[in-house]
Amino acid sequence: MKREPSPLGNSLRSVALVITLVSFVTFSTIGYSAYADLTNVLNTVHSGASSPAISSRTVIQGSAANVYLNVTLENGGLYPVALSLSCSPSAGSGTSCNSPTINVMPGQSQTLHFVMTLQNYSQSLADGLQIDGQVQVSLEPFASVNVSVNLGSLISGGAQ
Amino acid sequence: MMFDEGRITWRRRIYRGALVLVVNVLFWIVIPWFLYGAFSSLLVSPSTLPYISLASIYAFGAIITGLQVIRALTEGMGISVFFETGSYIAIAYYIYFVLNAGVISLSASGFGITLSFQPLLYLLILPALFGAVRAPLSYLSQEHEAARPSPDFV
Repeated sequence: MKREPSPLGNSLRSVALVITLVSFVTFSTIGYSAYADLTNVLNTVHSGASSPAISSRTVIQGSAANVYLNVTLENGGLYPVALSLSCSPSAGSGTSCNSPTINVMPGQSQTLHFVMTLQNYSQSLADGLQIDGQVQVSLEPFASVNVSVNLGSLISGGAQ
Repeated sequence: MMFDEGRITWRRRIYRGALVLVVNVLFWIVIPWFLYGAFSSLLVSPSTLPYISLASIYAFGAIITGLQVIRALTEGMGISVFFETGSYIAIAYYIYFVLNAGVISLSASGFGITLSFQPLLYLLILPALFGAVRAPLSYLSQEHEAARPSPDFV
């Protein structure tokens, strides 16, 4: 003979169902958002510096060099995306940057304006210049990817 | 249903134990082994994942599979609650360990990449932790029906 489930048993079953549903919905939407955002980011990167999505400009004034980088990010996913770019300040080359961050809401696009200044710049140092930078892309509030890049490669091309 | 109120025979327990063994070996040993091989081949140096090794995958797989099989063999007895709870805790810790607490650092193609996904990790281990809590509570809520002797012992 089967007994009726106890109230505690029913509650546990309900909680299990809620956890399953929340997990399913969360992972489904995150998967879709990650795919949509990754596709946009890869398209942006592969389109190259000549595209409107990424533009960089280097201005050299005497011993100082200013690098201006604009990155436009379009959020095609379901969650907000945060993008930040920063550099490691260096006393030797006098490197400093504004370390901007943008938060792009779903369905919107926004442009990140990054400015990096090298106080002690010389043309002979341009090739092979190593400036540690960090690019952080966050799928708020669940996950983030932090990529270490060499920002020195921005200077070697397009100097004015 | 966790605690069957019908008669649970040893034949049924052994069938279920064999099924649980096959499923768990596939899920906790074979699939992670394949994923580890595929993931390692993508990296420049597999040593960038020092916290994961084949030995740890086999060890956790054996622990989880062993607990699940013993739970299946003791189905309907009160002691199965300990093995079920233990297996869920082992699963939660395995996920936590393999995903390095939600922060994974990789180096590939000259780039250093750090993935951080703690909220997703908690969501992944939540069902296992809930299962660990649910097993004793279900046992208690069913008025110790599971504690009755197996028909094989009568």
